Amino acid sequence: MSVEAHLVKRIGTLQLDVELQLADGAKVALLGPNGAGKSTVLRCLAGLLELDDGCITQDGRVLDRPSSRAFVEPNSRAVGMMFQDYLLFAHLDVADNVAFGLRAAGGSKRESRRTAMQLLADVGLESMAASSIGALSGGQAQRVALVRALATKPKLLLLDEPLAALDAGTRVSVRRELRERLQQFEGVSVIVTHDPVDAFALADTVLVLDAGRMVQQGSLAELAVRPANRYVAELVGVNLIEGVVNAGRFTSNDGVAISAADHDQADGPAVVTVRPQAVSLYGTMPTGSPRNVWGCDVVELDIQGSRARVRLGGTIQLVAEVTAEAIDALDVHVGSQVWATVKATDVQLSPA
Amino acid sequence: MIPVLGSVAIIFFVLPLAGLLWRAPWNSLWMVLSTGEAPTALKLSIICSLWATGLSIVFGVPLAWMLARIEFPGRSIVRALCTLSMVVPPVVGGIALLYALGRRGLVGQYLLRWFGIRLPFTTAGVIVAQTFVAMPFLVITVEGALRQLDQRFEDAARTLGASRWYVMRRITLPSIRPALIAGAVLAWARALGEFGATITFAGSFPGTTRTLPLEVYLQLDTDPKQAIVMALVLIAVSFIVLVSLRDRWLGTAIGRDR
Repeated sequence: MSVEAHLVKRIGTLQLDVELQLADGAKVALLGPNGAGKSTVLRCLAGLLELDDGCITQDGRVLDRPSSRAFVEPNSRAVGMMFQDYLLFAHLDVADNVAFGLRAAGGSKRESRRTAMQLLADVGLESMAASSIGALSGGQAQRVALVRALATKPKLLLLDEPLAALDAGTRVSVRRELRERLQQFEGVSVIVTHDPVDAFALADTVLVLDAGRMVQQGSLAELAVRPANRYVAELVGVNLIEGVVNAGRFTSNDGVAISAADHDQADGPAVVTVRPQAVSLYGTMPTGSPRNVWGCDVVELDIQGSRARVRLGGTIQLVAEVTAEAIDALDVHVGSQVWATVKATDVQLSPA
Repeated sequence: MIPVLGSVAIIFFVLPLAGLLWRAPWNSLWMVLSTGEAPTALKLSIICSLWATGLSIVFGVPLAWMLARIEFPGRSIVRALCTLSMVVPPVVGGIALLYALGRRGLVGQYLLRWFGIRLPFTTAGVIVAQTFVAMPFLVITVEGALRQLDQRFEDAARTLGASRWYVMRRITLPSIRPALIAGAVLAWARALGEFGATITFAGSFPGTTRTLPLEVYLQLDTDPKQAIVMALVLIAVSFIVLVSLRDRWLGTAIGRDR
């Protein structure tokens, strides 16, 4: 375990009480509504907020434990943080922003700047090194902020809404780049986001926070099957299928063609999003309008009141949410075979 | 209506200046300036006001930081006490200083007995009096800027490994630089023009405590020509500084105070 934390903090009406175990290389997305305490978690881990109770340890070193009055200042923690609006220093040029952490650590002016130039060159921004912050585009500013946070070689990387400030166009390419950077990063990454697609692309585990408590933890696929509550179901309980668009047609990585309604998606990697409520189940192969029809096996069944979640395998991995009556009428049980259909208009196609 | 009233205000400010210019002995200007008491007083004024500005920065910036950033009980009362000298008549401030730092003052008697330091009626006393009335101008300007500053930039610097002192030096102070300059200039201008507290606390000894404003006042009786010339010098110095600052620094600093 690289980072273990029990965060207890009270701020205004928020009462945070969350336990985290983050192994090296873990990429964790924190999801939750506004005011759930996501940013507070990051600020506690960074040391910008002191805990009321609980404990944070990193590789066995205590960073914060109020009960023994232990607190390590943020500048002495091996933590890097990227803020939602990047917070690049406007009175320094791009290279000096990147060099800031190196200089704070005692590096010489020349040496730090040379390292910064190298790091900027790695992301193709060496030409902007002497530019002012105002001259950067949104995507460039994001990259500079990330390079700056990584320059001091942190073991824990905290990203607060890393893509929220970007417009839809740049978002896709920046997300792909960020994903690559995170995959190379050997420490622990914690990413605050409100977008399941971002969480899907950047993280391997999702933690859902609500009102300061952890509601659920697991992979997105696990959350989609067994969402702990309505909120999780609506937030992350969607089917996300990775694949490629070729000549306007989407094919999943497993080779399943999925039709989407009219779209202007360019060729290239893409993600299909299907709400479980949009998946209908039939006992026999349906005829008529739906273009997406697949024969599937029922892998898992979870009935909660009048609603049921059905995990399907076979041709395609899908979660369907249907009424409990439909389950009875179709005599669905684990191992039985059903036909799943999704209308093309219920298929959301977005770039990956 | 508004332009009329505004113009009256402009005339109100320009008229006294015109009066001085009208009475100025233009032919003997240089002679009056280079002889007599003027050069000594001017030199003393400039030295003392620069010292007062320096002390205001050294102690005023930390004070402004405390007022802006640290929550402590009675903070608004402390702020009121520290800026009181801005609104109290300077003569009252001078008397207060005398009873605090004078030879028989609350602290002054020990300063004299233990360290042999005597402040009243010395050049150091002039600097103390000027600092006393000038520092609040810097404090409120800088405090306003610190309150306006987005503290998350400092947070970002902290996560990048910067100690508190390093953050102060490389993030906080550079970010409030315009306000710092404006505050320092306001404090300096106030110190340069200081009269009441100086004459009460430091007296009026030529060469040691008689600054330009004191000299102007004294010469008004004996040699009005010289008084006018020295007054013009004071105005010219202040005016040059104000104009060179223009809106760039004063404007942004005052804008930040909202």
